[in-house]
Amino acid sequence: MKFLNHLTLGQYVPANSPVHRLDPRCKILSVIALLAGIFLMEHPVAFLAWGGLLLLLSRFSRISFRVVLQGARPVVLLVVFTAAIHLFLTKGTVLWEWGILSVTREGVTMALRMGLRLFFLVLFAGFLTLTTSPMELSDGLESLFHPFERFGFPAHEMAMMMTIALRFIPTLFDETDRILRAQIARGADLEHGGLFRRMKAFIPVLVPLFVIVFQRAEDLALAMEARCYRGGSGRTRMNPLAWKKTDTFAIAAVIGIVVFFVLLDLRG
Amino acid sequence: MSIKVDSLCHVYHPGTPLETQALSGVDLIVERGKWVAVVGQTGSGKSTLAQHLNALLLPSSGRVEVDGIPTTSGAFELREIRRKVGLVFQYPEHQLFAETVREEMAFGPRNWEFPEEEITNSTRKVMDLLGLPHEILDRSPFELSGGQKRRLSIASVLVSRPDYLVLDEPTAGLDARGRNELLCLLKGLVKEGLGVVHVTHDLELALTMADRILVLEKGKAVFCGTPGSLLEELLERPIRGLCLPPVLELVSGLRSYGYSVPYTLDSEELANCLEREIRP
Ligand SMILES: Nc1ncnc2c1ncn2[C@@H]1O[C@H](COP(=O)(O)OP(=O)(O)OP(=O)(O)O)[C@@H](O)[C@H]1O
Ligand SMILES: [Mg+2]
Repeated sequence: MKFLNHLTLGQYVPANSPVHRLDPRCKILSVIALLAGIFLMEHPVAFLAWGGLLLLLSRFSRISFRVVLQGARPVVLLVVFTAAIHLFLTKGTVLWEWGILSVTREGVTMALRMGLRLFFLVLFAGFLTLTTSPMELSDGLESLFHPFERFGFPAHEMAMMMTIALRFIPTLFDETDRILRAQIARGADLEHGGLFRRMKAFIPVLVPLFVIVFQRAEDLALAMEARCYRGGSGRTRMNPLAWKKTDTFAIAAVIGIVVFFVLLDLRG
Repeated sequence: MSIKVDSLCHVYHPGTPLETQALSGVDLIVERGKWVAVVGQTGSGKSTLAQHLNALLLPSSGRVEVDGIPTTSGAFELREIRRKVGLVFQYPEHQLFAETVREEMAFGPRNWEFPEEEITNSTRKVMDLLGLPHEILDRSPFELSGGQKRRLSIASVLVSRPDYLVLDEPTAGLDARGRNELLCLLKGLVKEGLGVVHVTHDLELALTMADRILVLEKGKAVFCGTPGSLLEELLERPIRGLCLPPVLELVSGLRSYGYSVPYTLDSEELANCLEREIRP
């Protein structure tokens, strides 16, 4: 019986591929470029090209396309919802009408565009977390935000917080799952009754979870203090990030492709 | 009246990169009034098996039946199965949530719609049984000591009057005295007709307490039988994933030097025998 599904949005799949080996900063910047490109897409047909790019990426990063698609499963509902809103609420030439519901020609294009945009956004962003370990990711972000530390932006602290949060998400998932099972074994019924009853039924799950979270936070703080952690200034790294030629090449290629796609799209 | 496990297989996350075969073809029968121990190394599938016994996990293939009802039945039967088979997880104190001990104890029985009066009665009875003083009824469960928390969480399962009790490493993290008390108590309940499934990696404990022992190794049952026959087997050939308890290690060493000491887990008895052997 499945109570919580573990394979969710953005899980790291370790592999030794050219994409995995790229510098995290390169991957973060590339993803930003790709996402910007997707936002500028207008023609539904252009999405075919993006789909091709997605397939190519999945080949390069040695992650099966099925796993990539699985990553987008949690947002399918959101995509459908967004598309539906645009489908029914866009004004224009009416194609079909039923009561207060009407579908317009503009609505269909809009729904397709917004739905696909959202879907592709999630898929491309998913590649970042699929091919970059949480550690690398937060190192990359810290390094990218480092210049802003001069203006008082706490880059190191943010990165540390992110690392800790990311590190504990799976643990908390497991803990929740365990508590859920334990309470179900004591006869808790989480699936029946109205909204209020069901919310109340979750108290026996949430209270132990909070207890565990605070316990863990305290343990972690103690462990960090015992290792003399005292913030970012003057810390060195075990694996310093190193920008390689391939990274320059990769990011140049990505920006080139995005610009090319956008220009093509603007021309019609 | 028994729990029947029939060529049970379990696969976690089938069809994903995380696919794991946790159990393959396990058979087991748990009768009321019997103590069954499940031993095996870490990762051998003990906890997975335990969760099958009260339908928290469902078989990938094979069957689990509780008093003739398969765990794959509908929601109504499932509730009945979960009441009949109490499950105490490893570190059960992590599931405490209520404001008072009284509420904590009433959680299970209320879910099964026991009458309030009966809940009050059986709460007192079970607390006496587990040696929990009645004064703590209005205290917060989080204020109790570690050992008391453990006993409270076991009590909160027993108060729903299950016919079988499955315990996953119930003695982990308890001191020697707390451990012995708990085991004694379980032994008493077994005498009164409770069927106990005791998941542990402590072979010595299993050999002394259980009526039957199931040994799991990488999800397969490598042995199932009485403690006596397990001992015989163990002395003849090593069973994968098990090593002899230190006392037995000593006995077989002594025997190979020609001392005729019996195979016993009782160190006192061994010492006496040895003394008789050595003194002319
Ligand atoms: N929720 C899960 N998802 C995926 N795999 C799991 C899950 N739970 C257990 N497993 C895997 O199934 C196998 C058996 O696990 P199980 O927890 O039953 O072992 P165990 O004998 O109870 O070990 P331990 O003595 O450490 O508690 C292990 O290989 C484990 O990695
Ligand atoms: Mg276990």
